[in-house]
Amino acid sequence: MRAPADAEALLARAEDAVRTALARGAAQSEAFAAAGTFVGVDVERGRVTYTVGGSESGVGLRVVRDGRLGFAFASDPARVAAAAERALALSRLSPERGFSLPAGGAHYPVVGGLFDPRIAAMEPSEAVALAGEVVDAARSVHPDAIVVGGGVSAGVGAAAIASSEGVSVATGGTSMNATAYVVLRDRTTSTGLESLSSRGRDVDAAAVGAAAARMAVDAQGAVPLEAGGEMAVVVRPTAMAELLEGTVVPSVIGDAAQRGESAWTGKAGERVASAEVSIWDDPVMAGGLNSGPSDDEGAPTRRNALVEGGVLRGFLYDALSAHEYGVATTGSAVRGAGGGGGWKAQPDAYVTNLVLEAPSRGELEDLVSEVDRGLLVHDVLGAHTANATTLDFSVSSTMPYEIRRGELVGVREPVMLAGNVGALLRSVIGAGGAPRQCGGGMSTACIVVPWIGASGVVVTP
Amino acid sequence: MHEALEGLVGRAARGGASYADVRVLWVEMTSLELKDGELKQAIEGAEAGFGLRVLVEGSWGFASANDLGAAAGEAALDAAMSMARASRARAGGEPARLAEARPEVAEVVWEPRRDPRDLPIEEKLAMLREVEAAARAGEHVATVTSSYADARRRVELATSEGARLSWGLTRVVAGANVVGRKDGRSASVLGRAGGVGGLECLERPTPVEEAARASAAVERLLDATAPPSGRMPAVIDPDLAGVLVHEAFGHACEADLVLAGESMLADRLGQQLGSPLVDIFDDPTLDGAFGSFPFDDEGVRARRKDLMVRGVLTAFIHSRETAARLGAAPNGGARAQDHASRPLVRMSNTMLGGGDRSFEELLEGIKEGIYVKGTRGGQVDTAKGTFQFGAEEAFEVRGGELGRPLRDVALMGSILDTLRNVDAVGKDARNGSPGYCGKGQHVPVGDGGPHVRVLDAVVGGM
Repeated sequence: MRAPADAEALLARAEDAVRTALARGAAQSEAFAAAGTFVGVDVERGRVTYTVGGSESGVGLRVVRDGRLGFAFASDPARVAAAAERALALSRLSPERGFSLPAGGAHYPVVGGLFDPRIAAMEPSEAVALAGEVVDAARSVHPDAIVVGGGVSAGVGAAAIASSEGVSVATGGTSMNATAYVVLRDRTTSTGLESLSSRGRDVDAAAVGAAAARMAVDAQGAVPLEAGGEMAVVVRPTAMAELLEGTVVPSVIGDAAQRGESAWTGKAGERVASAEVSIWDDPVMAGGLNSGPSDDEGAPTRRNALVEGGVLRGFLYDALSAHEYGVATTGSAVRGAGGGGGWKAQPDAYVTNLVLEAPSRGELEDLVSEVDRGLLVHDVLGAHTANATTLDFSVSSTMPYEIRRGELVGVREPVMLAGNVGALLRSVIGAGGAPRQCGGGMSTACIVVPWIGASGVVVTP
Repeated sequence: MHEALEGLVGRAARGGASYADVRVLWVEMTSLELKDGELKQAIEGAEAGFGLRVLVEGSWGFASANDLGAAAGEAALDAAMSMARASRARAGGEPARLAEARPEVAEVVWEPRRDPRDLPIEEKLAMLREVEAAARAGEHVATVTSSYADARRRVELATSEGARLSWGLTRVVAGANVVGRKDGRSASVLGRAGGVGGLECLERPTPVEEAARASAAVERLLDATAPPSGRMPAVIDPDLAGVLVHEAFGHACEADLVLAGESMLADRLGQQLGSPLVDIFDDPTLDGAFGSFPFDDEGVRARRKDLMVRGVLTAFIHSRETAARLGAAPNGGARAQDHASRPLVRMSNTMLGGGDRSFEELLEGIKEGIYVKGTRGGQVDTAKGTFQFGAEEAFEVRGGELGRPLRDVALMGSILDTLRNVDAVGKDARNGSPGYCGKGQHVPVGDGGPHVRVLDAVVGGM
């Protein structure tokens, strides 16, 4: 890959933008300069159809004048001065908040495992070879297991934040992903999906293809579930992540909590989950997909307890929402959480790496052995329709496995699952296997979770 | 045409590419968001970038940058060529080729009638305050998020076949998301107006009218009762009808999904699949609709695609590559989210054609049924042809009359069964709400249609 601008060059670009804004009348200013390059290989119908790559860079500029905040962005360095003018003009619309941009001089944590030179040096031919491994591995599990969608992507990026208040920090690193969506037309048509992401070159592409194919093979010959009703579920990390993204993630944002939009509004100090469950937002975990020493406005990051021993401990704040509600920032400013280049968005409090901890029962089989009657759930469709205020969900699962007396007894046809994520967290049976980083949902959130067993889901065949 | 970049396609061809195109995109945008009366977001920004696509011995490479300098062009040319050559190693025995399309030389700029750039941002904010006030009309409204966005896009496209195109358009959208609470229950409705064009897109309906509609709907939902479930006749409003034809039928007409074995419509062209009352078309030339454009992102002139005519499946939506693979003519269905995204087969404005009945006539004769309006999302399996959608609002229908409001209503079933069961189509076809369609990339789309009656619809609670 072509190397993007390095941290030093980005910091110089950010500092230059800060000076430009100050010279045009800003009382305070802050620039977020980012640059990245990526390579991606698309697999369709079992073959590589496209190799894509590119580079992006830009600057997002915040200014404060008369206590009012303004923001504008530009991709072209020649238009930074125009962006500064626009940001100042927009600040006039903004309420007078008495807000001051975050101060510099903070001590940043050291976070390891964020950069792998092997990813930064990855050539298109290497990415294509990895995509080939995904396809071949699926086929080696079953000759008719076709990777109809997926591929391999890798990227390297950096961001620098500088401000008139003394902030001067750079973050960045590498990441890669391999994904396989397999369709197997054998006795019946079945599907399998696997996706792995990492900050390092350690994603095993062949393992991704093989795992998706094995899911599809195992899902052959599904029969209808005989009887529904309320039962336990053992949920795959990726499916659990989807359920949490639409429910718990929006509920732990400070602004939502203060406005009464969160399911957990006014519940700080109360029991919201089983006493054995804890939830953290951890931007300092080594190798975390969203880890870094600084948040997106230059505040040092830290591990924030959200739920500890089942008790709700707190919410996430960036500097502006913290100022608004008279609390301290939790170092949780994220730009572009809903997608899109970070430099095009103002910072807002959001989840980085949401870690759900529950007592381990050992491996997945050990967790399953604790369930008398229930389903092993690999996928949930429609998790985005969950209600973030009530935490209710109604999803379908395409290839559930029935569990009877602690044993998997066979794959079943699609079922509807209805329940409440809050109730699930209060009835957690335990965790199985190692936690896994699940990214690539509708937002930038990374959710770190093992297999989770819980009871009280209503299943309709 | 951007000179430094235009030259890349000829050089790619001389370097061994059988085809190359370069697409340069300039975007200027404004976005405002007001939450509970307070300005949360005011952003103005500008971005320019390009994407270079090359086809070398049947394999694609695509390189992009948001830097229009000559050095970035050089780097992209090298990268795209080396990526295409890398793809070849694993392309299998199916080289990509493109169906014939006339290389056009044209410049088309859809100038807005009322350019949003002429309206001072203070007045845009004042408009949002009116939207907010209208949304607050309901007694139990708790939170209102109102937003306004405009974007001006200009595209230049050059191909190694000689096409030289330049087109431009403006898009505007504004509205409010209204959340209400009462007795521990909550309900939310999004009301949004917009289209391709200028501020004239906010005239019919206005965002203020949409916010008022959303506010009234929230109040009704807070007092609504749980729905019945089972099979019953349903009257579907233009918004939900539009989303149904887009999600459950339109995606299955995308030729890339057909080729991938992910569409239940593969091998069914020419078959009578729906009621003879059903016409479905995708039309990027509809004046002012949110998904309109003059050329697709491969430079093929936009045109209406009749997908279903009197219940017969008549066409798929194509890129030049899928058209070549399926032996069809290109029909202008390749769209890219931005300069950094390669074109994919996409819909534009997907519409159910109009009929001859009034709304009252559709209700007439329904002894017990349901009227469903709008959507709050759902899921579709294009391979199996099944869908489940949550309606935004619903009412019972008894003895041909609208009755009590119902909440949390889901409409589900098989799309082909549903199209076969259409027994009456309204004459009140209109564009639905502006929306965005996600398929790895997000593009603005429109959809809509008339009120339509479906016998034997499957209705349930959510």
